[in-house]
Amino acid sequence: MNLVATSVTKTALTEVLESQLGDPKNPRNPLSFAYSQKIDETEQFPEEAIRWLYDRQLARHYVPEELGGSFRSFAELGEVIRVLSRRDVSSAVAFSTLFWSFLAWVGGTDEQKRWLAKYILERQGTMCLAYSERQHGADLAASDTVARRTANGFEITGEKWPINRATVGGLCFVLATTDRTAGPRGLSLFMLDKGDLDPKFYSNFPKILTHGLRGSDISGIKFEHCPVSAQSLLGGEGEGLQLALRGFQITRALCAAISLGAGDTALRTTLSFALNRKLYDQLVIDLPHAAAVLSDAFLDLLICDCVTNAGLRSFHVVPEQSSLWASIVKYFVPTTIETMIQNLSVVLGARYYMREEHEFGTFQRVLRDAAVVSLFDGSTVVNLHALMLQFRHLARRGVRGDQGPRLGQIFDMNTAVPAWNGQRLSLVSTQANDALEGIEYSLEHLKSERAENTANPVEIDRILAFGKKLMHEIRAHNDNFAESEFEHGHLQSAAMFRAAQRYCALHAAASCLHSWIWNRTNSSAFFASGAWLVPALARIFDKHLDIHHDDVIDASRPELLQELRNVYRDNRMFSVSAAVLGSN
Amino acid sequence: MSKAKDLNEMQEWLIKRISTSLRVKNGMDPDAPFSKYGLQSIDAVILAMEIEEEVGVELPPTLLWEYNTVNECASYLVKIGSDIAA
Repeated sequence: MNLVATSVTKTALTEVLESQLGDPKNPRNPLSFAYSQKIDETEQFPEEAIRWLYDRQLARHYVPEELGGSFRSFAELGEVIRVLSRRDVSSAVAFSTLFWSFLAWVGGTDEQKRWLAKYILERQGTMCLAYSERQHGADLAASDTVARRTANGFEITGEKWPINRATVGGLCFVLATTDRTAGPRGLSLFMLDKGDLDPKFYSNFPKILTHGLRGSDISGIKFEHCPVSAQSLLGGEGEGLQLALRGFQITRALCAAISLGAGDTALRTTLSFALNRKLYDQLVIDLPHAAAVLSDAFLDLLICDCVTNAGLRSFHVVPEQSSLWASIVKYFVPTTIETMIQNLSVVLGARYYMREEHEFGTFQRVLRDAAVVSLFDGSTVVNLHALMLQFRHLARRGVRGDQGPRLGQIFDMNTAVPAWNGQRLSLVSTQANDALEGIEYSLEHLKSERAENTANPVEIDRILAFGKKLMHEIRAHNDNFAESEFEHGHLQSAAMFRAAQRYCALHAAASCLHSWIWNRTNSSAFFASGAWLVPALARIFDKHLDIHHDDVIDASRPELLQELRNVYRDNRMFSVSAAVLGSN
Repeated sequence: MSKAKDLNEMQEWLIKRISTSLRVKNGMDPDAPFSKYGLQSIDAVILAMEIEEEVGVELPPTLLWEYNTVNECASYLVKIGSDIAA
């Protein structure tokens, strides 16, 4: 049986995958917590899990439909990754190196695309991204790996490290310098099938021992005058950096799905303890501090779900803005969820520290495994930097007021997205940020359609008031940067990083607001009621904007906790869609 | 609209414009790559977009990647007839 869902909604896809994979607490199921514990403890690559996933045709979700795969939308692909990640982050990360195939879907020739599709679908092809170098980290332009033109193609010399799946993988996307004098045009990208290379000319560095993802193959690769064919060049010579940066936009947003899956499991395993453990004659969940931590975690997951879902849908609707949305998602979601998991550890007490016992020691493993997400594929600093460079230019572009029709497409989960066109990805945003500039439109939409509102009038007035505050903060941000003394380069001040963090928080709040407004008639009763939205906005304002509404959050806790219990009892995902999870 | 610049004027304008952006203190070598003055990949794209707003014609976002020195860039801008306000 294969696991390619035929349904058109991402919730249905989630539920099909979940039902096939079953309950991860059952050691007999694939990618179970017991399996995750085993590969972590033995530091063995999750070979069986990956084979199982390929055998069930899961790799099809990474290959576009026109090339024989099942990829239709990034929101769907994000669900596949989240479902895997909530079971075992190591397996999800090892399997999802498949998302580097998007480099070829964006920059490859038709022949290269067809070859790669067959390689994945028929030969269970796997891949790694070989950009980083020991001496240069995120500074891709400083690459010491050189590709020299020869009569038959190129000859590559250099070392790439640390690289996920550099050893246990067949294909290697290698960034190398083809012209030292050409600046950003001096880099080229190669798609190398290791099976075609003479082993005399390349070797692997040993697996690196890591804090989390201990089963992963995080190693490296060294090329020594390695001959490669001219056909392995992806995009034109000198187009490597441009292609690499566009590819990162896609994978950065998808990384958030890894965090969402890990966050779901961290909250679920903590809840299973808090709902059963008695302290001082009370269940842990009824203790005020634990209740606050648990309900905050629930809010964090809903907020991050709104941010991720809209970010993934935005690739189809406004790819011109992807450099913004992807960096925001990649900064905000992993850092929020990593902090959330850390906060939850207090509720679990001693069990948080155990590599066994409560549900196979899952919590501490998720804590360690998920901590890498904010680091890889562009760290927090890299993403904030990519955003701050654009602030003045964005502030000057100002509001064009044409976002309205696009907002429903971006945020309404039940609206089909347009087919993805990778050629529209832009290195920097050529448009203002629709989520921020479109708030007024969405609020007007809400006001004009009160008749179909699902929330009570008091709630709606509170939502409108938060919306106005948000617009005020966005205006202040733009005013601050429109005439700013802007400095290019990497030596940005700490204040600029704080401004970029605030910008991401504004985007997150806007994503929650739009998500509710555009989904309130087609979602669960809890989501539709808006009971989560005001505390979610208050939480973002409180944590990131230094605007405090403790009373709002405290007043909402009983309702949030009740819903949290309901979702847990009904075995549903802690997400906007509340998809049914695998059982037995 | 001001009259289109000749090559010398364009070189001067670009040196002044880019020096200000990159806070170059001791003058720019018109034949040195921009990376020498700290201009990296993405910020070069941003700067190109800002220059686009200041000239009368649409420019490729990777303008400063393709034309990697003041002289190369000035020649290109003159060739396409950019109309930079004085």
